[in-house]
Amino acid sequence: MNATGAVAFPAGIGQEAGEKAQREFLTCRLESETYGIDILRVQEIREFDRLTRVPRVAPFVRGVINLRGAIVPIVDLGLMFGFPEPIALESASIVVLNDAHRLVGLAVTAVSDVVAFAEDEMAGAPELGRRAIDAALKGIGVRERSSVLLLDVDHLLERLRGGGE
Amino acid sequence: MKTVLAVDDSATMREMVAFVLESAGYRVIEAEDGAKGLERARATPVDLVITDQNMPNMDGLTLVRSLRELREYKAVPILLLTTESSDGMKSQGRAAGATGWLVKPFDPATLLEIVRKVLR
Amino acid sequence: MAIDLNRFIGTFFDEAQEHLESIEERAMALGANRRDPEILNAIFRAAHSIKGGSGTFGFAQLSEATHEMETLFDALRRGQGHADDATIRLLLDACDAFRDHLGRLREGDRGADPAMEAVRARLAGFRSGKAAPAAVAAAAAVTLPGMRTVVARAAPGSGDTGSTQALKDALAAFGDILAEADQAGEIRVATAQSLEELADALAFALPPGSFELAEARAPGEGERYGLFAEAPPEEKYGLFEPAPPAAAEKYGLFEDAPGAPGGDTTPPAAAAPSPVPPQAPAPEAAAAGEGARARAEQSSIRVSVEKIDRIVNLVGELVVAQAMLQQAAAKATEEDEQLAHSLATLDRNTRDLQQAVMSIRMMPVEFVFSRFPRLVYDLSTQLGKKVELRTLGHETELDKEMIELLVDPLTHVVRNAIDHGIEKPAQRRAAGKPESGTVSMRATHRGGSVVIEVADDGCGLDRERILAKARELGMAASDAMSDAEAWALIFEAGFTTAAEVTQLSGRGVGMDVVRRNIGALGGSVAVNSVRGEGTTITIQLPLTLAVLDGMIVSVGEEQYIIPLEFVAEAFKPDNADVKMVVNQASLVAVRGEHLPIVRLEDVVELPETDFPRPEPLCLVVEIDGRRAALLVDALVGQQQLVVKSLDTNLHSVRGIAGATILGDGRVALILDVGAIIRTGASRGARSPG
Repeated sequence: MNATGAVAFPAGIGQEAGEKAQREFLTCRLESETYGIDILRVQEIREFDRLTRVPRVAPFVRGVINLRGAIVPIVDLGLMFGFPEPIALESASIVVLNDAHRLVGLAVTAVSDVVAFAEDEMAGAPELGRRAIDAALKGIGVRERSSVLLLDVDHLLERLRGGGE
Repeated sequence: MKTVLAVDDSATMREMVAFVLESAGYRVIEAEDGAKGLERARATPVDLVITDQNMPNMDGLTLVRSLRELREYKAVPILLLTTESSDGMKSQGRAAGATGWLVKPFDPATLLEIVRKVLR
Repeated sequence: MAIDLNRFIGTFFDEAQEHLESIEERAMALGANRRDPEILNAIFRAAHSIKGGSGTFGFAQLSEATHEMETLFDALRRGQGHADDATIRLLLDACDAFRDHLGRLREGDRGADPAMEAVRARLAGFRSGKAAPAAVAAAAAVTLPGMRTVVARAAPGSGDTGSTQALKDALAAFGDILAEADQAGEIRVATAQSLEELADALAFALPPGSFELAEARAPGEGERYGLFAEAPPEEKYGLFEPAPPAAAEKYGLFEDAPGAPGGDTTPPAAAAPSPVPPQAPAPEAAAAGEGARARAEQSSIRVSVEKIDRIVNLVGELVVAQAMLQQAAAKATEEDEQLAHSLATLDRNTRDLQQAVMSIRMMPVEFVFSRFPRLVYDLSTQLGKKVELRTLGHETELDKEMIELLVDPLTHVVRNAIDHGIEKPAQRRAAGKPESGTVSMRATHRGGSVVIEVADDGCGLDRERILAKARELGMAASDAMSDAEAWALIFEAGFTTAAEVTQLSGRGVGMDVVRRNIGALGGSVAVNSVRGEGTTITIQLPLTLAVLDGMIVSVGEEQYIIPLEFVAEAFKPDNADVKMVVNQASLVAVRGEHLPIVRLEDVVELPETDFPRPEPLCLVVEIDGRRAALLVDALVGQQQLVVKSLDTNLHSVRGIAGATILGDGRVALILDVGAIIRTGASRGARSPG
């Protein structure tokens, strides 16, 4: 695992000589907040499909779906971050992460865009004072007046796995 | 196409024999011990039997003797593979009814040569 | 003829591995019967086979060490000396060293391996210390460490002075001539080479068989590296000459022998033309070798597991697609008989195909059992106990993946049996038992599952201690518990019954891990024990991980799968048969037996729902004689299902054995019946009466 706080992304793909190292992030909306997910970890984005509830799992695991024959858990990112209400799945987008062949679907309110940040546009994670979110942040990307909180995908997966026993 | 039955408890050895002979255009069937060799020889008429001596279940000499008791194998050539080139082994092989012997390890050319000779 | 030896190397490694297992197995069998000629012979043969192959591929260290082993066992099988515990230890250590060495060779590391040299020296020392002292004494004038004296002479029949001279010249290249040919034509030479190496070396210079070396029981075997390197000199033939096969030949034909070419006994061979013109080399044929490699008759082929798994997955998807099609066409088939017929045929074919494919993955349970003799041997020696291992039902087949996953839990159970079950010899004697304890492993088919029992005739579980320990750990335990309930406690996390924790078993991981692992395979574990007589652990497993016959049940809007093999019966419970406890249906009478009631809605923690709920239906589920009544809303159907693990992407979930995809593409969870029954049992234990 990476040290917390410090931005420790390896050099991005598509980086060419003389060009500034850039990393691309998929930005998604959770209610009114925007988060960025390292695009290299994203396998695909899907509309929500029929879900099967699983008993005795962490509340943020909404259930499992059939993704071309694979049983993939759906994580409600809002609930994981301590939002009071679950995301309305019928209108949600599912961001499927691929982590060393483990598949996880993140339910978000909507997927917005892909943005690229140069190294000097990224900084360590700010303290928001919300523990569930702070721990899940890897950094912040700032360009002009907008900013995107960058998610620590490893942390999310770790928490999902920790929901077992 | 002539068929050769290769009997040896070592799969490596069987594969080598099979490879050499198949490369030369023979058809090779395999058995991993004497008892299975006898079974296979009974089920499929073959033109030549090449058998190892030292095997579990049934050794080579016994296989040779058993084959010679079968009417259809009275005159089929049988070669005994042996690691012992001693005269004792040879005379035992001969007494059992083997057609010839071949010392292990052998090279492909030697194998092919003796096979061609007996199958001429 | 250039032949790439490497194509056979994989076969050799596999084969050597098998031989090692065979040696190991027999080494332990030797403990029980030290003079069994069959065992000694088999070890001799296995060592011999490894030696032959390793020589062929130039694996000198392996070849040398197995040569020593072979020689040792050749002496033993001839009644010179006998095997004792030290022999067995040496064999087992040698197997370990050989195995490591093979692993290294497999990875292409051909560097010198000190462990192999150590083992070789031990084997050699053992041999010279124990057996055939006379033979060694003859060559005992060792001048330097690692040097030996060898007596050589020209073979009788070729014993003219010319060949003796040739022999001496050849020998001089490999050692120091100590004594010129005496009257018997014997030459003494000091050499660093083993007899075998020397024989091989000489064979390059001299016609094989034209010389003899002291102890030259089997010269020229095995250690010739590069078997297929080059064609031999042409002069090495001449087989059909009337002269007896003289020493020069590498092969020979017996004159007048049956099947000999040209012999009168030879009937005209079948009219098939010779595949290649006699005398003519066959480069074309050799070049076409790859193509000709397709074997007409072969009992088995090697296929990579990846390929099989891909087929299994594809067929799994086909089964689902087939089920979806059937569901989609359900309406249409009512009117269209031909469609119905076609679909039925497709259904049958799909199932047959699936079964055939699954059978490829089946392996005999032997693959697991074969590991245990060594474990039992090492463990019992370490603990100073006498243990005999019996294995039964080796041929029982199980899914390959399951076999692999079974190793750890079974190891744990067997360790426990020896560590905690079997008593020390003195204790056993005092208890009027034979000194040697028995652990038996038996695999059998029972319906759609495989049952593996591990039974020991040791001291049995200590009920008092288990209950005391359970209380100490804060578990619900009462003296009123039945034995079965008490035994079930050992499966709880953190539980260990050992009075003193040994380093072998008993700390940290316990039977709870065994139960969890077996549960993850869709199986169950039960224990039965009689104080002073022994303990039996029974593991029940589905035949295959991948497919299961499931009953689909519903509760509220949700559907779940129960493996059909665990469903004993289904009925509408009569209110009169249901015993209420604190306003909750708690027990139901089924033909005089009171079964604890478990509600599926509780098992799956069904959320509040407005969905109309019918009168419940009762399913009797059973594992290893333990039963519970599961209340569900309705039966939806039965289906053969492809089992998937929740663990792959999520984590394992208590009460859920796995998941599957239904015909309509939805995911349905497979219930862990063992967990349901335990829920019922604990509830039954809590309720009064």
